[in-house]
Amino acid sequence: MNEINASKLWKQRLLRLHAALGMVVSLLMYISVFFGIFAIFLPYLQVWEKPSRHIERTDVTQIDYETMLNQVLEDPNFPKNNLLITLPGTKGETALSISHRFSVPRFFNPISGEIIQDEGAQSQLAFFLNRLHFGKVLDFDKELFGVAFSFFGRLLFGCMAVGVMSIVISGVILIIIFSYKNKTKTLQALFSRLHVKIFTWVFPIFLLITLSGAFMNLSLLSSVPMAKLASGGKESRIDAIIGPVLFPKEEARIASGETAPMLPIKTLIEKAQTLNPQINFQQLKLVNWNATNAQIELKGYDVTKPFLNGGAFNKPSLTLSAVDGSLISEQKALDRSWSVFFAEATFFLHFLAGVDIINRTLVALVMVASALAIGFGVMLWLEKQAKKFDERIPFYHWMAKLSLSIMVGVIPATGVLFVLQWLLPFDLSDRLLWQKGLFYNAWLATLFWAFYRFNTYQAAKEFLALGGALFIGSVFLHWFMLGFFPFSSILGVDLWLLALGSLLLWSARKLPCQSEAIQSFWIRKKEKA
Amino acid sequence: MKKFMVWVMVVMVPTLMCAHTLLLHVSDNDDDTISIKGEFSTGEGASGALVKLQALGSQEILFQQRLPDSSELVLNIPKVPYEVILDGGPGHQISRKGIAPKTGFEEKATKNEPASPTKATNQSVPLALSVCLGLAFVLLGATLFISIYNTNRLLKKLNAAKS
Repeated sequence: MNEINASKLWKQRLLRLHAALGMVVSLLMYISVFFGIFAIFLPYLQVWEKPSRHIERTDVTQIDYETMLNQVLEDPNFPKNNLLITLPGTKGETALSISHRFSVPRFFNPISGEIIQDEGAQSQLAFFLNRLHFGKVLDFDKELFGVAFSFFGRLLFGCMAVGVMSIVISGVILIIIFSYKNKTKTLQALFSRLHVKIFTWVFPIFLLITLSGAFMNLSLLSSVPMAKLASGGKESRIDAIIGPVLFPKEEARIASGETAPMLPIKTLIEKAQTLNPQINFQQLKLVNWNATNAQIELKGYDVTKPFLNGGAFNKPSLTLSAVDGSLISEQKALDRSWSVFFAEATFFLHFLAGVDIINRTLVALVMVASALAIGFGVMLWLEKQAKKFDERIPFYHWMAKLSLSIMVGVIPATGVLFVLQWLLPFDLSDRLLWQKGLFYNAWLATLFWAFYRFNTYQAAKEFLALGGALFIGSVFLHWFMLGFFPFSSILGVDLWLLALGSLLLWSARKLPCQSEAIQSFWIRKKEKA
Repeated sequence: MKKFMVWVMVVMVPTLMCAHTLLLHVSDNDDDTISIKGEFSTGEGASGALVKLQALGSQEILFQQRLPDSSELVLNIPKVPYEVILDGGPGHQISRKGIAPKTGFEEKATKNEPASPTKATNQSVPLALSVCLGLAFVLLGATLFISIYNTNRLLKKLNAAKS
């Protein structure tokens, strides 16, 4: 008898722990997942947001590189050796950039060869959405409290990711030890079922991505003591210890002092492509250019070995002589050590380096499902709380209002961000600051509106409708300001935003407001399913 | 064991590796010249990084040159107090106070000119930040007010229903 009670008590405690921890981290996790969905499409968004990048995609073997290279070499203030050419198409970028490790990159239109005036800090919509994903929320002023808040945000999101992993594990145990019924006669039962069912399908991917996110945010904290421990107190910088493993030291190659004619860069790319057709070349490094010992190092991504290369640490490369195109050295994707592959795979799970639009969309759909599952978990908790309240008055709970603002209010607030991208002039002083500030205020305004409305469903309906209108509006504003661009990636983002806006408007139309209709809306939906 | 620790750290610390730390070494050659060396904390040289000698006070650039392939420069020590700056691109600038010549500096550092009204404006809080923070406080206040107001309305309604 005692054993049965102990088992019951253990299950009950585990369930309560799961619910309590879930309510602590769910809102933060939702924010991270919501903006993570936008971050998945970062390569396409960063092209869409900048008028200077509205360029048609080009074949890298058809570009006249020398026209652009000469413009950079003629600049007396630009370094001359070890120049880096980032090819169009790398991470979704449509422009070609010529840079140096210690210089601001110059951007070029690869078709015309003309220099592009980069919008720089005036347009960073995609990066801002990405920063919201990992908690770098208040970095608008490095001199003020931005740095402290940025660190605090990342620390908070990192701890949240660890908390989420505990929740997922406890959730899996609960699914195993509990027998969840399929009957969904009450809202509470329905939300419970949806929460469990969705996470049963998506938890392995969700757990892996959360794990890699926790690594990225929290590893910063562990670095100093780990470095001291490994080096016997000699080093406090972790990069001094592990840098040589991840980034082998390059030997300085001294120029011969004699000049020689260089082969056209597009010819060298074609030669490299013939030598290793599996690599998608992304960056070229020009060493001792115009000298008799000039070399070109072509780095890229081996498409046949996803997870193991193409990110930050392992880039397969070919080094050719720029004079005659002969092969000097080659580093294949599998030539590095296992520790590098592990680091690369961790990054891959989060950055999806080299992943195409179809696979990105699939990952985004998993994240949408996860966001919905988190939402249903919160709704389940709120439904339980609502039972404790008197039925003669509407359920007016601070957590319900806060959750509404964070989970649904974030949609129109993000819509404001997209509209402002085209509404604010690009030469406006502190443009990004205005954009971010108005976004946060729009989000805060949804909190006010959530408290203003007694009926949470009505407020949610209004947020969804407003969000839909704003996302659709941002596309029309884009077309109005810059004209219609039939290029694949830019038009793709427009269509994606139009679809998102339409879906939100449709959801707003379908969502009921009256309490009787709410009950029948959810239960009816289930019966149909 | 140490190898294992390094391996573990490679696994644990991917974020940091996006940016190595740039280091600047300045040493006195005892012949009124200094050696300036730039490198990354990984041991890799920083050839191409811009070295500047900037006068303290007047902020005048006394000398500037990019580091050669050897990542090392030997320069004559200026006669005025100065600092050595290694400019590694946006967000990566480090500086060291300049070493004095054997006989000391000939001139003292001139103080900065008083900040012009334009400079003072640039240093103030941006308008966007002031407006947005102000608006945020208004919205927060309005939220608190409406929350209290609506709660009181509900309590009244509940009391009326009970009585």
